[in-house]
Amino acid sequence: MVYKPIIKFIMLGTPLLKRLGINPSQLKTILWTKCTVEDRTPTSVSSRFGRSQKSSRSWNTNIVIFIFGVFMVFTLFTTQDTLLAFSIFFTVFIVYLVLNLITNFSDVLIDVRDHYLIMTRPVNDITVSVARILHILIHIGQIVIPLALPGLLAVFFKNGILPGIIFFIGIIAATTISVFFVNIIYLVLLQFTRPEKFRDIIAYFQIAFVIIVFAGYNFFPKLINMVKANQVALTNYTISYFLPSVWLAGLQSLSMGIANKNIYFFSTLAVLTPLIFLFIVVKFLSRNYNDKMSLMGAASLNAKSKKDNSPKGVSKKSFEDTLSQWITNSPLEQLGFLITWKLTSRMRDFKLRVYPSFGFIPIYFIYFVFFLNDDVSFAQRWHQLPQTSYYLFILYILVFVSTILLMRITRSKKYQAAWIYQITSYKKPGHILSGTLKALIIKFHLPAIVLALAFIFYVWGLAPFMNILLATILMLFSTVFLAHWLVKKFPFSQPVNREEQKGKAFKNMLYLLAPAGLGYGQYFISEYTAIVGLLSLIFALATYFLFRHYKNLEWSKLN
Amino acid sequence: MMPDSPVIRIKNLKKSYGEKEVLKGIDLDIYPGQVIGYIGPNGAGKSTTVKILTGLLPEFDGDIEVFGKDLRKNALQLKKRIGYVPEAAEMYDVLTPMEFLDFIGKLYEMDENRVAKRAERLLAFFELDSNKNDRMDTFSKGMRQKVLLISGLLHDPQIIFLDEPLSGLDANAVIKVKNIIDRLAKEGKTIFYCSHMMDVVEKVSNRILLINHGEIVADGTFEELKQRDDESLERVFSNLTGNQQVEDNTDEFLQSFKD
Repeated sequence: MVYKPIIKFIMLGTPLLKRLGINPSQLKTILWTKCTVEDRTPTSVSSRFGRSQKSSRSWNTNIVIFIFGVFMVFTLFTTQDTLLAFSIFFTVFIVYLVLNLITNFSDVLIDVRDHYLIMTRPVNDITVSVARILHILIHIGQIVIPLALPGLLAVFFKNGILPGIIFFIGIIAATTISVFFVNIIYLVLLQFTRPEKFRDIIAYFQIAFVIIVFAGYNFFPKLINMVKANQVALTNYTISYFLPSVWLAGLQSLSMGIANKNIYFFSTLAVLTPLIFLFIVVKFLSRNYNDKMSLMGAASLNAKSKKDNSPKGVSKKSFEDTLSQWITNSPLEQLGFLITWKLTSRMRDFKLRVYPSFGFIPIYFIYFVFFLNDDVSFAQRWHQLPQTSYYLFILYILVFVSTILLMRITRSKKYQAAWIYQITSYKKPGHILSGTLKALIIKFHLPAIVLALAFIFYVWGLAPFMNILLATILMLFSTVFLAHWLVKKFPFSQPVNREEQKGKAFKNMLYLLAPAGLGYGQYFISEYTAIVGLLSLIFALATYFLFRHYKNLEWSKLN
Repeated sequence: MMPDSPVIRIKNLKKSYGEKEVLKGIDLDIYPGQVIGYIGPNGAGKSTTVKILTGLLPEFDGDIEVFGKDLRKNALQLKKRIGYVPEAAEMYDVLTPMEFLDFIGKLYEMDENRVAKRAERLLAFFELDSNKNDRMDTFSKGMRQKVLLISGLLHDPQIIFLDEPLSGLDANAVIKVKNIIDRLAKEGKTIFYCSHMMDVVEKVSNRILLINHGEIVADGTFEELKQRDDESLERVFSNLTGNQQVEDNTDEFLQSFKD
């Protein structure tokens, strides 16, 4: 409900609005409604974290952003080098804002319903346009205010009034620059993609956003320490001259009594660039942009179907179709394989719930391998890597891939479409499940394994081959084993029920810790090649039989 | 008994999307109290016509007068006297019916209390009074459709455009809506009814317009349109839209199973 006072504040300008030809009461009702709708609609990112649909999102989100803002204050006081400190602050600020705006802006800007609900009513164009601009500003303000407030207060109290005012201007400039970048990115995306594809690409930005924020939380303190230790002089790096965050930091340094040629140069750019960007956005981009956006609303009119050039009666086979014939050995299993393969690529909500978790894996890896111990430098770590058994860690961490997939594969927003499994007649639903499992392993697990093995062979060579073999087999075994526990329902057949998931948190932790146990187990026997070989054989057979059992599951065993 | 001045007068209306001409010169006079059944195959230009008349598509060729005034120049003024009920999906379903209707009412610059009173009465009429403060994302398709219907009628418009207004409604609600349409027409209001449900169009409308490939191919009462006594509107439709092969296609359909 943060937007309410802002709308009240805007309405103080009623006489001015009237003079501009804007209908104040219509403006108010449009703003109120649009903000309420936005507030009550869960974003893809927030729904990832299991927030209930009913609660209003803005307070939760604002608190999260505010905490991030507090976190950012630390960047200001980690080093005596003012230019460096503020450069880091503004870089984080701009990156966060750009990513946040990219991921959620499309929801704000592209709402086809506005067209039907507002344009058919007696509302004049200027009221609609101004409502739109104000809605965007409120949206941006709801992010910028909690993000910048802690920093602003800190600068006011620590550095005084003039630096505080300059910092405030710097925040506005940084916001303008961010909006400019977002505008450019959207325009480029719209230029090169079909409108229908647009939202899919935005979904990938959302995934990147989640990963980067996650990485930020993990690495930031470490990076700050490294900066402190190494005493980096920013201006030694040519790239710093091209970073808007450095320009803004330059202006800030000037306000705090630091003056040299570089600072003057940066300060000039900090003042000029936002003005130029603002001019470009208003003058050129926004018009082009609105046209493109409204085109998206009419996308259905221009939708072209792909032309099928194959002769009549013969439809073209896709990669997964051909693959499914090789991999599966019953029509039911093929069905499970194909439906899983195709839907995991095409359902946006699945991608948003699952893909970011994949991004966490390399981050965890880098964190544990390179950052956990502060005493040793990065280069030293890298040098010592071949003497360690971290390859086991890399392989076992991949079990996360299957755990995440298996925990989520049965859930979907469009779960109702799964009625088809219930009304058709077949004896062994296990065949569908085994098809699903095969698709998940080949589509997601296999590429991850190949990547991991390539890295492992590069660093460690072929020496630990037997251990790598056992780890890989155990990984597959765990996957099949987990499928037994987690996937006894059809793919995409259950609602995304968060309450239930909460209750299962403990159980899920066990699923995640079990592979760690296996990893430790192997670590202790890794010296004894014969045992490793024997275990490989045993677990390969066990995997095979377990899989067969899974495939032959009957209706009574499904829950 | 037709009054002299039409409420809507369309002259040579044309509209193109890129190179594709969707409307190829439509001429129409529509009078008060008429219930127009506007029918045609998918992509014939039905919704384009409605979008132009409701002001959603401000760019078109030709002339349109509503209540004797040029639609292009007086769109804002004319929209106050027009009601529009879009297809079910188009609403902010995270709002409650009361919030949604308040929003729509205020866009028509109606007084808050008046909107609330009317909204409550209309919601009660459609048996939604117990749900008036629930968010609509939990509503069934029929319940949403009822709210949309109310939102189109709230400001007591003279001309009402209905796009598949009965979709998802139960039998009782269908009877209610049909009665409302009758009563509104008797009060001299004009109703523009777009639908694919021929049996309803046949019963509700007193004038049927059939559009095909952007042109009006039939215009008259149901009685005038049918060539034989026992003919249905469905049959008239398939004859006029050039789809005489429907029967042959059915054979082809059954042939598909023989392999």
